[in-house]
This record gives sequence, C-alpha cells and structure tokens, in this order.
Amino acid sequence: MDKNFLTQVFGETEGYVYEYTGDVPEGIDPESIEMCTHVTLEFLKKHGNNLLATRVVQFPFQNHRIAIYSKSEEPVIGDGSGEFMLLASLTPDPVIEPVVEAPVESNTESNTESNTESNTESNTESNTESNTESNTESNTDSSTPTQG
Amino acid sequence: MLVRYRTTGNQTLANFQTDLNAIITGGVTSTSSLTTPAQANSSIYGTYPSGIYTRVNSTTYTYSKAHNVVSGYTHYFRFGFSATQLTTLDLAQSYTAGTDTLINTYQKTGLNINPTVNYDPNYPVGMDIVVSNKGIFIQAIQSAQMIGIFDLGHSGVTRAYTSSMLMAHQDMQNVINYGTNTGVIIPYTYNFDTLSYGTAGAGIATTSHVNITPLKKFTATSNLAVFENPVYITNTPSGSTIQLMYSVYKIPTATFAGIQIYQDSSNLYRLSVNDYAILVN
Repeated sequence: MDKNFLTQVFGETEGYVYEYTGDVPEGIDPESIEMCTHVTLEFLKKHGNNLLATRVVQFPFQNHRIAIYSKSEEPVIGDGSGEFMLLASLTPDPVIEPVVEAPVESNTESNTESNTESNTESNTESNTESNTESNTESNTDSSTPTQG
Repeated sequence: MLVRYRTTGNQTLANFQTDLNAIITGGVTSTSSLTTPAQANSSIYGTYPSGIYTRVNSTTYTYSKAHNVVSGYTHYFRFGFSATQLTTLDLAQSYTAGTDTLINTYQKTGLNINPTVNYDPNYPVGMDIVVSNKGIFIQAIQSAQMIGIFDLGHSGVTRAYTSSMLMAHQDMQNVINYGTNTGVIIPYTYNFDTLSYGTAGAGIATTSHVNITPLKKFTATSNLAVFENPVYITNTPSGSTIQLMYSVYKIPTATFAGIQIYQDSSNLYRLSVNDYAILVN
C-alpha cells in the first residue's frame, strides 16, 4: 500500500496512516463496523485523546490488512508502537525545484575571453593543466547556444 | 427551522454554544429562548424537526442525526471550539458512547467562526442556522463559512455495501466551483477504485443531465417563477453512481443577491445561497 493508494482511499493530503497488526477479537467480523470500532478504540487508547478524527479501512483483497488514518500534523504514536505500524504520511512530497544554471555568456564574448585567457595562461605559465581547463571552457562556451 | 442569528457585540462563545445546542435539540421556539445578546435582532422561521437530533454527550458537543427517510442510518456530528471560536465540524459514521468516540470521522478544520458580530441594521449580517429533518447548515458570512451536513439517498453501491454512509459534509462555498470538486465529502463509503471502503470526495456536476440549472421564467403576472431542481451528487470512486442530496435545490442563476430567504408556493421557507436553495422545513 503506497502513499498514492492511501491518499486515494482516505481522500486526504495531510495526516498519517498506520497499519493495525493486532488480533481480531473473537466473534468480530474483520470487515465489520465493530472491527472499525475496536481498532479506533485501541488506537485512541494508545494516543490518549478520544477527540482525534480517525477512519479505519479494511482491505479484503490485500490479505485483510487494516489501516487507520488519523488527522494530525505530527505522528500521534511512534513507528512500531505495539499494534500500530506507521505506513505513510499523506502530506504531499515536496516539489523538487529544477536547478537553475547560471546564464551563459554570449558566443562572441565567451569566445574572445576564453581565447584570450587560454592563450595568455598557456603562453605565460606553459602549464598543461591550464591549457586543458581553458580549452575545455572555450569549447563548451562556444558550442552552447546563446541563452539570454 | 431557520434561525437568523444576530447578536450584539457582547455575545460570548459560551452563550453561542448554549444557543447552538438549544437550536439543534429543539429548545428554541422563539427568540426569547436565545441568550440575551441574541434576542433583539434574531428571527426564526419554520418549525423544529422532532425525533431527528439528539445530543449524545453532555460535555462535548456531539449529536446524533437520524436519516429523514432511510431507517437504520443514524450518523453523528460534533462541533469543536477554541477559546473564542467554532473551529471544527466532524461527521462520523458511528459512535461509542462509553468513551465518547466517533468512528470513521471526517473532520472539517479551520472554520474559525466567530460568534460575536455586532448587529448593524445597515448591514444586517450574522449567522444563519438551518436545522431540518434532512440536514443541518450553518453560514457565517463574517467568517467566510457555509457548511452543512445533508442526507443522501441510496445508490446501487450503498444498497450493496451497507456500511456506506448516507450523509455528506457539504461546503457550500465550493458549490460555485462546478465540476468534480464541489465540496462534497462522504467520510465512509465503498470505493470501487480501491475495492475497499474509504472517503469519497464527490461533486455536484452541473454538466450532468441530472443536474440542470433551471431557467428564469415569468408568470402571467410578471413575477419570477423560482424553479427548484433536485441536486444529485456524482460519486466517481463508486463507479460514477449518483445519489440524491436531500435539502438542497438548484435555483436559476442570480435569482437572489446574497443570502436571502424566500417562500415556495406552499409558503414553506428556503434559504438561498450561491444559486442553491436550502430547505428550512
């Protein structure tokens, strides 16, 4: 049960979903409202606040797993807390902003500068390393289309 | 019953809680039944629906509501308050009395309804509270809230999957956003997309042939005839089944400006909100 599936089930974009791993009491249909009541009471007993808004859903086609949603800004009980295992936060994942590259200088300028720099550096220092760097820069600059 | 709740500036949250509880449980028969700051400028229309609402806990503001037609379907709602405001409205499928616990609850948060609005005859706004056998509705324009809980009719899905709720939370601020998200939330109903029960965000879809906005027509005496079409919600996760939403009617566009009351041909009152009419009786 991934986050998208659980969001679809509970229709929420905040709060937390836990899986109930405790026993089904004898005489109770695991897909009944009585089971919802049992899981809710166990959850709220663990949390200590009977005013928390929760919903319990059984998944008969997923090995009868049972999940409980709680509306809260923080997890109300820790992961692996007895009969409840934290499955997911329903808060949407943060959008990763694309990395903005530094604007590339115009072809004319970059060619002039890079050629000058590379010539100067390579001639003055006669250094293989500086030659490599300057050539790479100038080649890259000249082959990149002008962007602003 | 509709209570147009208008207060003086010294109204308190405690008084409002007392009045709200009395309105829901049938303790208000005239404005003199309200707390003092709400007596002078409030007004009452219609009659209280007996046998539908019961307060189920004396500490929290938790109530049961029986469905107006379908027997065996009683659901629960609860108001939550901060120190000064009405902040949350819960709607739940069932309830455990011993621990005052709501089971399968959708909670509408961030209401922040301030009960204290000094009545101004030149700008006579305040709260409107409708309590009928088909639903409960509160509009507080000063706090930009229009929230309701309304009965739903059966669909083929809810008849087969009988734990599905037959009430929905409706944000009437959203009904003007025609389309799939018009503020309907059914906390617990069967979902064929996930093959499990779950929460459904349903909509009042005006593109559907079952939800046509009536046209403006005029009588032979040149009066506007206000046609009231029933409203159906479309529940997409349940296979795009439709359910009647009791208590709410679609009326012609821009029939009324603002939030007003009118009477039908039987002299029964309606409260109009955003081109919808809410039954008072």
